[in-house]
Amino acid sequence: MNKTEQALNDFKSGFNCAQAVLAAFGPELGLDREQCRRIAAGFGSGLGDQKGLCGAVNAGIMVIGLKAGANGASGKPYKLVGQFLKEFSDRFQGSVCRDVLRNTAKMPKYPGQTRSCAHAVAAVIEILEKTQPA
Amino acid sequence: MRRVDQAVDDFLKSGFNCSQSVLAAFGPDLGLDRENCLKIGCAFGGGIGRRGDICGAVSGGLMVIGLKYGKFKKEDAPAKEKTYQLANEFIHRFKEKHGTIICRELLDCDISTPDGHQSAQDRKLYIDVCPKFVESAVKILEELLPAQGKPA
Repeated sequence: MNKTEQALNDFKSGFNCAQAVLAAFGPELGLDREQCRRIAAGFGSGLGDQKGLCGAVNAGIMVIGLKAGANGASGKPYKLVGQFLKEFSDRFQGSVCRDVLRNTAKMPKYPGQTRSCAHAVAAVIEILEKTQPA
Repeated sequence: MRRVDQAVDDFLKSGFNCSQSVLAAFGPDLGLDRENCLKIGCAFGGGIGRRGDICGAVSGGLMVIGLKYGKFKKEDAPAKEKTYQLANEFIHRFKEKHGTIICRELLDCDISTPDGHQSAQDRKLYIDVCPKFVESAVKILEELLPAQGKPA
């Protein structure tokens, strides 16, 4: 199973968007799935249902840190975060949960998924894999 | 060492960002080793990669709440509810104290621009003001998570 399939399976079975993304990358970056799901648990639906910054995006930022984050060396991850957020925002006309929900609701239904923001989960993984190969 | 002192030391003396400092004060007692705490929090500093968005001390705090209570088994709706309830309470208390969870509003300075970042440095905002947010986040977490020893 690739990362997208893995994440979308988790998403469909009731894990939030942030958990789905982080648990797809964590195991190859030194975190087990349970740890990933715990760390990301408070970020679903834009920070604990606050409709703030998209949870999938928050998890993407955690992945960038895990990949690039030498202790305290902020330069590289900060730059990568900027690129990542720009690409995501271009696709969904924003990165806030509320906007992502509104805009993905207009897209064709994601195959096999019930929630429209499966599009956001898949996009985060695609952008991370494209811009930051393991 | 008290958690709040450790976090402020990490921030001021060791040069870790706000998010790292908060997460690393709790993570090792909740099953996440210090190195991984520092990595995960690394890109959240300065309101996410110095964008002036959500305060890193707040995002770090949400990670701590998840580590303690987060749902990790498929069928565990109560864990999700508990986590979201505490996440909202944490944000509420932080806002009560500081008015907002957004970095550029907390600092009254938009550090996402080179001029703003320079101005924050010139006015020592990172040294004089940010530690208050790190301290608040740790204290609120200590109130909300009374027995921090192990994951629930």
